[in-house]
Amino acid sequence: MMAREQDISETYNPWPKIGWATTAGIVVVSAVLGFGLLDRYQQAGPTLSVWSAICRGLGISSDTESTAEPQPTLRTPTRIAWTNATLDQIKAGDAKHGAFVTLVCTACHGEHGISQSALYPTLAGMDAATVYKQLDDFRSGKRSWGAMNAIAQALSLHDSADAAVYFAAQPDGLPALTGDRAPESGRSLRQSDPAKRLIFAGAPERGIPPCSACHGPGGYKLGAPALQGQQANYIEEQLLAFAQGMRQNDVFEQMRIIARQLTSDEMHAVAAFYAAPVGAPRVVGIPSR
Amino acid sequence: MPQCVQVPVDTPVKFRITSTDVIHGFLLPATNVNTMVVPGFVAEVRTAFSRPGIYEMPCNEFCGYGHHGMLARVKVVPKEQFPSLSPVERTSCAKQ
Amino acid sequence: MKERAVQNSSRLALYHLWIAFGVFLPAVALGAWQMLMRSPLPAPLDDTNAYYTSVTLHGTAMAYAVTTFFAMGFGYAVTATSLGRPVRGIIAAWIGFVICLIGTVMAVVIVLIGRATVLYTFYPPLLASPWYYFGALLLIGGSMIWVVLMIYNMLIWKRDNPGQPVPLAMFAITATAILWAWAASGVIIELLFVLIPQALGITTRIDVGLGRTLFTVTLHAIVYFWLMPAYIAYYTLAPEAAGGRLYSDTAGRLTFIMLLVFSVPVGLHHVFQDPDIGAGFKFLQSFLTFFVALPTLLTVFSICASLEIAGRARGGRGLLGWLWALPWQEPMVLAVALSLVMLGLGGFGGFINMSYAMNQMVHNTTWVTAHFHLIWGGAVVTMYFAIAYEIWPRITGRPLRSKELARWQLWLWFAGMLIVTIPWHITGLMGMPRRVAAFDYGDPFVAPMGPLVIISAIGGLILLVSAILLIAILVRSHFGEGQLQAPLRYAIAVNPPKAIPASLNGFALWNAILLVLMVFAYGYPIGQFLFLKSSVPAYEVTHTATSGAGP
Repeated sequence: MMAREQDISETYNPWPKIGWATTAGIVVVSAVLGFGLLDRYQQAGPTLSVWSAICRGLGISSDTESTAEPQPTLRTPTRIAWTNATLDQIKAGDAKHGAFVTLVCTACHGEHGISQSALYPTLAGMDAATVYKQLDDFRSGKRSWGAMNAIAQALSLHDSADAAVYFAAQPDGLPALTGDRAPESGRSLRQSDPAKRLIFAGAPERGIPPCSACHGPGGYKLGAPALQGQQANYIEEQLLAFAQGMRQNDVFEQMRIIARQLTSDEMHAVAAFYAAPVGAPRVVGIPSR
Repeated sequence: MPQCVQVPVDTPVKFRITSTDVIHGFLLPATNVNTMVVPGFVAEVRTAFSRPGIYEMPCNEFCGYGHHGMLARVKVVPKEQFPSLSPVERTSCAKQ
Repeated sequence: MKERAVQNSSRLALYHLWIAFGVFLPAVALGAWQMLMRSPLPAPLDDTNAYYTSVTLHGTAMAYAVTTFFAMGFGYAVTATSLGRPVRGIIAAWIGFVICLIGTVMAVVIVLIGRATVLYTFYPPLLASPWYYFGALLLIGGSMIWVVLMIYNMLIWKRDNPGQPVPLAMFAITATAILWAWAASGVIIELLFVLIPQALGITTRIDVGLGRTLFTVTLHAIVYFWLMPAYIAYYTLAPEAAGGRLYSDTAGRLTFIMLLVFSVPVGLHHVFQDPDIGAGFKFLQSFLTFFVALPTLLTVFSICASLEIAGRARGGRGLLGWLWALPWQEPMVLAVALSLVMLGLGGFGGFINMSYAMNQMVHNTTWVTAHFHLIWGGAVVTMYFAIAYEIWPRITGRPLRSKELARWQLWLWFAGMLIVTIPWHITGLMGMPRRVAAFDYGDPFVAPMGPLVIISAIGGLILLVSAILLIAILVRSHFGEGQLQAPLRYAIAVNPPKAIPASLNGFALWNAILLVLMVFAYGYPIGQFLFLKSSVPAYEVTHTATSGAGP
């Protein structure tokens, strides 16, 4: 019988046997090695029992070693955590009621939240979540400044949310942070202007990320205020407060670590760069509203 | 993230790390410390440093526009020096 | 009528390949810019944000668009030429093409305007605009039509030719398609159930571990999806171009079967350093990864043997005399040699990466970037070029105007790729992290890396010149005198198969084995997230005041 006429199903086919035997071998050998043998032997610890080794291999063992080290005291910089409940409360703020609530704010923060004084920050256009958090930090005493603690204590959570949403909606203040920007030359470590270099490229050797990554333009981080168009003196004061440890409401000391490493010249230059006069042409971003 | 952490030389050290935002990387070149820092999980790395000195610790997973600025340091000090450091000093290399 | 059908199949293949190479050139340009940007050299438009956007675009274009369109186009060409008849289901094929094209355009545009800077691996909790995910879904999902058509065409050929061995090229491209279906399942599930619901605001928390683990199903298998067309060229086109025969048809079939079975259940070796997977499963998949090295070793041997047959047939004598006797003026032959060199170097790096312990030294350093650029950008893409040089003349009816120019283009690419990747491997061992836009070269830790990075950047510019040359050659192939080309001929084996076992002629057994291995290797690692309560909020890269998803 010619090989060509032989039905293909009659051709001797050892492959199912070979395939399944190899598969079984692989499964057994790798399971035994990976779960029962190799992970039993620890370089810096006693040999584990088989059951412990299997649990560790699966990834469900708990670390039972306790540290004899003294634990540092827990310091909470803020009461706010960005839970869904908190974010929902902020979003539910009523701007109309906020306009009423914030009438008293204009004394320092200016008409419609656009500050005319070097001492007080512009709040117009500031992200609602940022305003809400700072108000709560003043309320709880995690952040202290003059009359702000008493003012914040007089506001309920609802009022805070209303005020926050009102300020966020005010025009001609800080730009909305969208996280994107049109690319432009001179925004890398090649930049010779120290302020621009810090803002757009940071200082990797000091572990300082670019300011714009959180504060914009071209970056966004929940809770980080937009800085462009802000009062220069206010920015500089806050950087100094972080550096000296006078202000402590930044989570994980992020701002304190950064500010401690900035020279006073750098603080001044960065603040001056960010503070363009309100209404003046700003760095081009991609609008989202 | 502490900007600098001090640990003693020739001592088993365990790093336990997590993230509160996005995925980061934790890399100490020239050592066996190289792990992903994943939110929702705790990464645990054990090592022992055999040489004193300052080790740079870049973030090695893309974490946003500030990724290239995310760098910290591990300072490995002689064994005798370590117990005299206060808990605050152990998480900072700046002169107190 | 048949003439029209054949023409239609050719046009189908050509359009796919044009999209692939059309996207390739700008993507190479982006890559060259990125290399300048991160180096101490001056660079135009040096904005660190732009770097990350560029990496996303470069990755998306190269890893998803170029490769998928190339595989699809090549698949249709192989189907028509190896089976000797037009592709069946051509309307579905065109629909698939359009869907993939729409998806590609969506993804490219949304990344360009800065709303999806999440890199082509888009690891959550970083979150892009939903348009990006929909674009990726259309591109990857649309290619499933191609998968079905490959299987369908092979099955009806078998029905029409009972008892006959499926031609090796067709068998292999169908294996490629099936592999792609398995591989894509991970990212498709991740897109549908983890990322898109979060991007649309339907869910407010995201399980990062689940997203990453699902993605690893795709992450390694996809590189074999990219690799297999190159291997098909090794086995079926190279021996013919060299004037010889394929050493072993069975070795070829076994190679593609092993690639299918072993490249999918090994994805965890990309996340050895992750805290969300148990060490036992990482070891297990590391063990399995050794088996996926086997088909490559088999291939290198078979192809060298096939080339030796060709060399000796042309009069080569002595232990290595057959090497010089090979027809090096053929772009395909030159490409195979250059590709095998890069495959060897890159494969060696791969052995390091898959070794659970050694991976600790290189994870997420530039060593990894060097490895996959050398393997894919080097070994595989060189074969894509060679395949293009074979296919274009056959479809357009116009020969390559100059084989010498094609050889120059291949040599330039080879040199450029080595200049790019060798320093990268070294900086990786020095601890340079990857995906970083800017380095302070004044920092004493980083300073020694500077010269190496400059060398790499120069290599990048060489690659750009080579890519421009490639497009020029292909475009010129559309003009000039038409000459009837000999149809694409596939290599004949030394012992052509007359009757082969059913398991070497179909995939039922191998799919079953793969299913068992997937359950074993991935069942618990994915299933564990159903009871681990590890969801966290997502972080959008672009914030809109009205966006409701997450913080």
